Amino acid sequence: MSTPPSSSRTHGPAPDETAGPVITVLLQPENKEFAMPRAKTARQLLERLGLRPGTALVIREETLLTPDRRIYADERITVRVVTSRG
Amino acid sequence: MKCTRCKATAAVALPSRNSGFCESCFLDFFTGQVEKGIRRHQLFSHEDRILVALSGGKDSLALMFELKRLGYNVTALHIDLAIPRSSEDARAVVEAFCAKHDLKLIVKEMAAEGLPIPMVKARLKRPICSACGKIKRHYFNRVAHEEGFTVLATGHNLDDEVARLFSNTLRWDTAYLSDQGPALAAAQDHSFIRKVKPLWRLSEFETANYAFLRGIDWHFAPCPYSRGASFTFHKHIWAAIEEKMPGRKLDFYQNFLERGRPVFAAAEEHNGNQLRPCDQCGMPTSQPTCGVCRIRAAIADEAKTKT
Repeated sequence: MSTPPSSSRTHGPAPDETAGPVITVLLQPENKEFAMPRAKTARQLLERLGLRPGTALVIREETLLTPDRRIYADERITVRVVTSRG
Repeated sequence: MKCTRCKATAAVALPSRNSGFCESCFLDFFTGQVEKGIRRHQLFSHEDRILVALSGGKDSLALMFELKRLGYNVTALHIDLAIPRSSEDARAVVEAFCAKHDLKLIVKEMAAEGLPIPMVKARLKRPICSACGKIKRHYFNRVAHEEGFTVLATGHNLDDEVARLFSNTLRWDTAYLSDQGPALAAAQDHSFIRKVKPLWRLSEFETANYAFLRGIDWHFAPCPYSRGASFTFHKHIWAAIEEKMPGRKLDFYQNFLERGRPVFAAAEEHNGNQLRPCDQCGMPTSQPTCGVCRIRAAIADEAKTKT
């Protein structure tokens, strides 16, 4: 597992502040998996990753999450960026 | 968030539509938008033989899935660009998709045509995206023409169309502005097949949600040659505009079709280039030899020089 990707829009705690609740994120298309402090909602997760809500799918198991949906400690969430690049 | 239609828990939030949908209602919404897009611009009918260009990405696969579901007469076309660490995977996705859904598939290999994209890139020494697009469009048209299809459909979505319109506007490219839209009419001699974009009303976020909910496995690794493409930059600009002003993308595009394009079309009718058959391949071009045949000749010349 690596640390969260850096982004000019990235907000939230630094990657090493993992004393509290943690989630695991699989970021696609890079297929990078990393742990990060729990984001309370899908919207907050996207913000911390520097992504706009209309540019990525947030997936819990086989379920799509709208930005207002809560995220819980120890969950594994897939974030799939969908802006095509050729 | 609750579904705007049935009040179940929403799976997809769409600020640009001022709506949220549960899985089932979203799929209905998507179908409605495709049907509306086809109807509004009379893109095709159930009598047409439709060739659908499949890249392996979410948009083209979603389009194919939906057109088949709606009972249209569809055949898939995949252009194998021979790009290392990319084309093989994309082709495998397309082949698996067509096999799973019992779809007819035509594959055209650019290596066999003397136009493998890595060689084109090495020869051109300039950004490859426009040449690659030109080659793909050439073969879309050529295969459709040779195989007797009446319509060629691509998975271009609203984001693609708005990014392209934005780019054309930045350059005030009157030729492109004169005919950009969900449908490009066929040439009178049928050398240019009618080209349509049935997903023009849907954003790529919406097609991604649709593909996910339909269980479509798409090829989502970006093209290794597309890094830094201006097209992607324009999409980012529009994502920021859309976030601040939800719905502006569709407004911008529809208002262009209604009020902008007719003006450019009228101007181009007076000043535009006349098309003629390419002296090498017979496909329509404004030059004696079409751009694709010129690229092929340049690659062949370089190969001869090296031997």
